[in-house]
Amino acid sequence: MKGFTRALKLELENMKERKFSLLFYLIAPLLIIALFYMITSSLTLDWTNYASMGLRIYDFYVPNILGIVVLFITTQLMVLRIIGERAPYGTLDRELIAISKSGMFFGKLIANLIFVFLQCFLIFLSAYVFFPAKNYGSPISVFLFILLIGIFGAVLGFFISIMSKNKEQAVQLVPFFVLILMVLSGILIPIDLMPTDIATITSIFPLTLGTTSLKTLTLDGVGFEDVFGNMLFLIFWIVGLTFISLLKFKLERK
Amino acid sequence: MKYILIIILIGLIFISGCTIDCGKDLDCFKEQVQNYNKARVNIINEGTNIRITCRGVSKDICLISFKIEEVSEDLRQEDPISAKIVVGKTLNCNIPLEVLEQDEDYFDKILSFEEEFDQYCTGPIKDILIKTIET
Repeated sequence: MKGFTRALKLELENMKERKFSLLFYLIAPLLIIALFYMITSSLTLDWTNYASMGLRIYDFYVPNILGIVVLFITTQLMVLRIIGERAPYGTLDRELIAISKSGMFFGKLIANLIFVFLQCFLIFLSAYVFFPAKNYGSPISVFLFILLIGIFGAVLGFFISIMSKNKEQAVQLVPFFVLILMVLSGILIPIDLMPTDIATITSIFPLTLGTTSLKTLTLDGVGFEDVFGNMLFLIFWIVGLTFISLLKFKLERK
Repeated sequence: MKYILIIILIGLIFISGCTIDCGKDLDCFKEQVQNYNKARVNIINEGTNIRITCRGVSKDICLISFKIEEVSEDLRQEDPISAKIVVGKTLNCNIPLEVLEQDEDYFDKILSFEEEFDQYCTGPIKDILIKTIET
């Protein structure tokens, strides 16, 4: 516990030093949403079932845009947190102040998740308050799913950081994972149109779970009970990936 | 020990938020709503399945949600486009408790889109109806 607290403080100090980089991570998604709003808010949707509800293109695509933006930004945020401090780039801080591996793992993760929470809250505000998209659902449920996608992205970034051998590999793996999740999430091609076998597999992928839940919450106005299963699956992904990352990190020689 | 306590606490939070499932028994549902309990019921009429959920009471208002889970084969053949549109959509109504206590037929009034529907309800189904009337 002591090691965890020290690692947490250390990471928070590190985040203070990286304030301009973190500011970029806060502003970038807001700019993307603002830009998307400027382009699509006056365009009426007329090619899906949702057209008869009088929706704009902005209302219809915001859940997809949020899913991609949140996942990409949070993965990117975390991807150098471990690999960036390994030799030859630097020395892992824990070696200098004798923090246990699990203490360092959770210290870094939790410190960054605090930032992810703030980031997701700002993204939620920009998409549903400052540039308001149609939302028939509960704002708390919508925020919860944005946050879960954010936490998954952060954990995925951490996983990549631990698994990679060098920075170049880590940076290459981020778009690889995010693009695969995006292609299979139903954002580009609706899941209903995919071959049945692929649709079954992709329906339990994290980005699919997140964006479909956001869509049904905001556009169909369903309650939390209808997306509860998706939430459990997403939590399962987060816990599973964290466990694998921790295991790999603890089994490393250095 | 503390982990067990945390698990029990989380379990209690989940259980306290659970909704009573009345199956197809509308009277059971009405009774639960009168007692301000969260409950749900499915009304199935000629293949059309509507789920009604009471999400709870807040500030003398009961939030009741109507969700179209399935549309009958006849309706699907009669108007396939509209049938496809409405499946999965909801109508969320904020009904004052005094209405719930005094008027036993409020569900029928909402489902037949009487004045109460416009007064208390919002949601995709209402917007679809407004848009249809406009065009």
